[in-house]
Amino acid sequence: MSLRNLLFGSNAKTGTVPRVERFEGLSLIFALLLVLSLAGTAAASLCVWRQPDADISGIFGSGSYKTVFADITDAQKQKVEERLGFPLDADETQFKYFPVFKGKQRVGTAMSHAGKGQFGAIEVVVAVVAGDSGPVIKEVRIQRDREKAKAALRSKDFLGQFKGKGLTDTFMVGEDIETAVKGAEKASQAVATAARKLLVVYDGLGRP
Amino acid sequence: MNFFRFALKNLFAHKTRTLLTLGSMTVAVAVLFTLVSFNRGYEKALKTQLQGMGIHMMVVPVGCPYEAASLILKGGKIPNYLPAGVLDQVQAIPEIDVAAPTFMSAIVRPEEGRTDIYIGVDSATLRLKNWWQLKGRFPEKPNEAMLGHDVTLIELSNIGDQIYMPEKDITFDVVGELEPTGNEDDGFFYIPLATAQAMFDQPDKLTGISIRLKNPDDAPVVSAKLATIKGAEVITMGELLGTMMTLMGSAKSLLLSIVMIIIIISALGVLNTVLMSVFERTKEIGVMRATGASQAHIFGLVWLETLMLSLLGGIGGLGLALVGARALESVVKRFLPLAPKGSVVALEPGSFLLIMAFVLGIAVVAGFYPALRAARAKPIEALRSE
Repeated sequence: MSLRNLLFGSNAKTGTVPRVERFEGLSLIFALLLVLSLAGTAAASLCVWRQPDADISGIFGSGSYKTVFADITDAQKQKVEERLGFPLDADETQFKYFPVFKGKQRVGTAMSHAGKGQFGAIEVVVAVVAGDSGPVIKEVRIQRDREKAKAALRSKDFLGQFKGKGLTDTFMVGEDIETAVKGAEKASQAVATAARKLLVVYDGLGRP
Repeated sequence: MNFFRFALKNLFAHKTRTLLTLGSMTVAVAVLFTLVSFNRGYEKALKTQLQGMGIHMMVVPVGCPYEAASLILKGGKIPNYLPAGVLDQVQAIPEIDVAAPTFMSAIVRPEEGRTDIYIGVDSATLRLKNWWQLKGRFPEKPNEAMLGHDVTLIELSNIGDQIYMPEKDITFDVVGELEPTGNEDDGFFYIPLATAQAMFDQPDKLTGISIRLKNPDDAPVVSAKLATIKGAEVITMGELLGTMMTLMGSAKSLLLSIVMIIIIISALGVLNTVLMSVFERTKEIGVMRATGASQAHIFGLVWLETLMLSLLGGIGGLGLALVGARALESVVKRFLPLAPKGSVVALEPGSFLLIMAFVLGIAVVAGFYPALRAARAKPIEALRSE
């Protein structure tokens, strides 16, 4: 085995360059592999914060953000689960927060989470600010969904209901939250539950 | 033994200079070893992945690969599809065990940072990929879907759930889940072939036919038969691997050229270090010659110093490569457009031995001049020098 062969692989031995006709024939396979490489990365980026700049300017007017990772201890997890009334997912051992700053002053915190809707995942971004008795929601946004009631779920009428909600609110659709539209109760509750979960976990982790 | 100790002592008489030279040689060898290991690993991983597809060859429409890839990734239509009759012609070839038709297309949602890739399949795919482990069942009715493992995680959807495709206003019942395959199959939505064709307005058209042969040795015969089909082109997995490696080759040539320059600079550094050492020890060499050391002894001593310096650099390079290769791999894979799953860096002893032989070869050349100059020094002149 020559060094050249070792470095360039067996094709280099002959020094051949593939003919144009050969390239043409590979169309779909290349397409497949290119698509595949993207598909693989998508799986690893489950519920990232997709459009931080747009969300920050939309919610806070302007500002910058940092990324904070917070591990949840067993004791914290137990308390959080008691408050939520349901267990965290098995892989939820670390949470990601985005403190938002205007200059040096922290003006709030953004978080993202995927909840199970009626027709797939619904990814929400929740912005919280300090309230008189704990953190309260400044705004909830939907960054990805595949719901039939997409427009209603993203409407100000629905999402506006979350503004000012705090830790003592129930976030129950049909009680203190109106459904986005008739027939979208499950999706509406998914958004509400995701918002409450982020709020409770944020508080449970000591508001990192 | 004394000869080695003497050479080592000479080398480390000027620690800073020797360590700097060693450092440059270490980095050069580490980069070369990592590059070679990456090449070997990439080829191996690609081969494994292609073999794992269980496909011996594919029939695809004629067209430009870059245009097709770009169009599909942007959710557009590719210019050419396989006509409906091709599948019958392929299935009529007796050497073919399974011919699985597929129709692939994508729905791109740039504002959501997500691309859904739909693959229209029929039961032949299940026979082709007979290692697949399914939960539930394969989609058969028009509105049924099976989800790849990654899709179940991304969409938080499982058997019994529904998946809505807003762009086409179609609701699918999830009837199956693919257990993790570790390859690209995990990232797709699988739907019935006819549904996919109708959904993307290409009834009876195909984007490819994957083929498994009864006997892989029949590939040339089958390939020749398939080549007669109008509008279709045949690609064997071996050809695909070769072309992909060649595509990578140009980038590797550039990298290798840079590494070679680094190695030559390092070799010049070694030459400089040893030559300076020879100049500084002129008097000492004169004493050695006056007390009975032959020219061969002096030549051997100086040459040995060069070889030891290069050998130590090589070993250091190996250590650095072992420590840094995995970290480098994770970075490289993010930017590699055709990155196969699994490790793409194969740290093999054979590669290291070959590189060490290469480095020592360079050291032999680099050490020749200082050794010759030292050996040729006349004792009387050397003793006079300050």
